[in-house]
Amino acid sequence: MAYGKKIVVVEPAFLVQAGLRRLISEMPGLSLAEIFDGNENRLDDKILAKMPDIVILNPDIFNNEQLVSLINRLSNENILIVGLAGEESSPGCKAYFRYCLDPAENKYELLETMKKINRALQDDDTQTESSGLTQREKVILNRVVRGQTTQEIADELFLSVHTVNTHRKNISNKLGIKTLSGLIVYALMNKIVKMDEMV
Amino acid sequence: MLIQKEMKMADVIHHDHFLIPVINRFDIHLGFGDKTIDDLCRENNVNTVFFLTILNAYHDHEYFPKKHLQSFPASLLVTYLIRSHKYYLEVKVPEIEKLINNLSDETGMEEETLTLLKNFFSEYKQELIHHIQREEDRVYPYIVELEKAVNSGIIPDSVTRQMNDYPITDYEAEHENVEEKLFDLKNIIIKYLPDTKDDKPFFKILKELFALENDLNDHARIEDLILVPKVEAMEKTLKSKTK
Ligand SMILES: [Fe+2]
Ligand SMILES: [Fe+2]
Repeated sequence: MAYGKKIVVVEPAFLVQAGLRRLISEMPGLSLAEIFDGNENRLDDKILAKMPDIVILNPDIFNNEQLVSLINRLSNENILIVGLAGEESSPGCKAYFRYCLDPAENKYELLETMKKINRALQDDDTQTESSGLTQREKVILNRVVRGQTTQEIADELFLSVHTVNTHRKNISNKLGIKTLSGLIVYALMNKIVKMDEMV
Repeated sequence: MLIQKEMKMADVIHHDHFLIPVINRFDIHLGFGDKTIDDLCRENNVNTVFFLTILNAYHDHEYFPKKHLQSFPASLLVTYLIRSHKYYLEVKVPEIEKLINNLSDETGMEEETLTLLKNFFSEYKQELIHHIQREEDRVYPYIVELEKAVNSGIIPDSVTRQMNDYPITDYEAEHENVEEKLFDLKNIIIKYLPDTKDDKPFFKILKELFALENDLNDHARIEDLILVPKVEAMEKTLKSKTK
């Protein structure tokens, strides 16, 4: 399973693909989910199925209409899109993308850009910045591992189901633990729940 | 490197030693001398194309053998997959279990914490066993029957039924859950291990967990990228015949 934030690349040239693969592998907390050539059928669906946080794509392989519709679709899902183009080769790059990776740059320049992108992502969900769980999250985790459903937690804490779900998602993201059994082990080890509270 | 039949086996292993356990599953053993892959396959009665497909799939994660997909029987693949299941359940998992069971003497950790880890791993093991059993009881036998039907032209009702009720496309993407638990276990050890006298025993456990994860990923990739397309093609053939 991929670890950390997921990246999808859309680029047909093998040498560029291989370079990006290497670049991403040097960034802790980022991982490559998939590389597409760009000529796939229903490319947007295929990209979304990978649930990426970032999509790095080469704008030159699309016509304007395709590009705009792809960008819209991805932005709607809150995916950060990075253009694979230099300002010289494609002066419009910056108009479409908040970040651009220029294949002509050297490794360290590229790594700097990647760091900026990574940071932007963290700012987007400020939740992951702080290391520990908030008091509220601990309360919710306690109830989750005791076997309460989202609905029960919402009712008892006077929260909406949506809010409880958001908390649950944040807890899993912060801890990097997805399964219920994993959360139970974490909660017991860290005394967020006591053994005798467990049913 | 694209592994090809005229290459010397020794050269291939020097290039990628992670292939040793894979080769072992074909009953090809160390001491290759200067023999090529083709020589060794002939000597050991192994289908060369199939052997190369598996080796390449393990070696290069982007490898996808479009061309060769049809040139070996699916039953070979099934036999291979069952052998690797055996390796996970009879060799790898017990190894890790043993390491976890020995932790209390070595680390002086609280009994309660160790019990948590033990239980978590045994839950994971149950899930893995469940996944494997499902494949061996329900998916693989169907594939073998399906292939027989394609070759003989005689289509038993059981095959038609499963083709309609549980086609191979339904089986795809069932790998997520097993992977998630293993990942959580690694992360709990890496990030949330409580203080211990000595955390070295955990290095070994982590190393084994990473290795198991890797091997299982390769295994799942072979199922998803080689087995499934092959079965899909066979289902298509049969469907067009029955129409
Ligand atoms: Fe399997
Ligand atoms: Fe499987």
